[in-house]
Amino acid sequence: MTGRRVGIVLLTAALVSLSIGVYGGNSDTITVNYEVQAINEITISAASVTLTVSTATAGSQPDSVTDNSTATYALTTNSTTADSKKITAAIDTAMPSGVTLYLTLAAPTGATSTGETEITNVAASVVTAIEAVAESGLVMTFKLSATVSSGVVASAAKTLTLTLTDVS
Amino acid sequence: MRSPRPQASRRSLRSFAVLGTVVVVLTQAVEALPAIVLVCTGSWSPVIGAADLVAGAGSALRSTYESATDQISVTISDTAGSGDAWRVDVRRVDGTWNDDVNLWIVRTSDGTGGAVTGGTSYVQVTTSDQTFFSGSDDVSDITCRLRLTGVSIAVPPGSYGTTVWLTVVDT
Repeated sequence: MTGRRVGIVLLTAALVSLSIGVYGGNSDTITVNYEVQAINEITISAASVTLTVSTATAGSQPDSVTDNSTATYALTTNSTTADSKKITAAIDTAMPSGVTLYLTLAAPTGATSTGETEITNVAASVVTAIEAVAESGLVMTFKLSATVSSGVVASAAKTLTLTLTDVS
Repeated sequence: MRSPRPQASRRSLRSFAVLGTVVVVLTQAVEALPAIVLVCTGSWSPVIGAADLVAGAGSALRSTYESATDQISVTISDTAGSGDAWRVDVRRVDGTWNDDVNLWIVRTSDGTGGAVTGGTSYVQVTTSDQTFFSGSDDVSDITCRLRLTGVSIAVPPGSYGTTVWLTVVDT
């Protein structure tokens, strides 16, 4: 390469450098971090549901009573498939002998209801496989049954607790 | 008869010397160009939880979150004066990020000093440079606000982060 060619090459390189010098930028940074916490919220719409067993067909056990129009529940969770949730139900004290309370919860989208489930003072699963969902107005169906062996049972109140918890 | 080679050789050397000098001068000129300096301060770390549900259980999360209006401060310095125009580009480099969530930035003040234009409507911060605002001369404390959109319960619990790059370009 001749001296002139070398010079031209170097001149071109210098002009390129000049171009970079004009349009190059100076930068600084900021950080943006956000945290999404686990959200598992559930509420029951009604303050109370009253069930009274008062009729029977002669020769049969007393008629059970059902209420599916008083209470609904709502829930919001951002759980994932790997961390799916379930709803358990329990009452604060055991039912009298011969009297049984059942509960059926409508399942939110994608989840599974266990159907009619006897509710005692030990938590029982009523909906499983709950993943990210936000729904309200989900029907709660209560059923109270009694056998003649229970006799006449005085009116009593039970507190029902629904808990949104880990499946495992 | 004299051979022309020594004279041609001297010419080549002279040309090389001249061009080399030009290169040195240009290089020094490049080095002497005053580089505009951008400095930004601030960060933002919102925490999203059950308190952000629109109406408690059964409702969705608020989708939009905004920082304080002066969450970020940008200062431009070392310009050549009022005739020295520049622009600021913005982009992000993600660490862990959820693709449903979008980051935006908006300029909320003109700062103090030279002129600033643009950037008063939210600009989405993507992984590519976007023009944010422009101006001229030195300007200090240009405040900016950040916004997250697209948040929902479909975003799994966890921590997410990105680095926002602001770059000043001498125009």
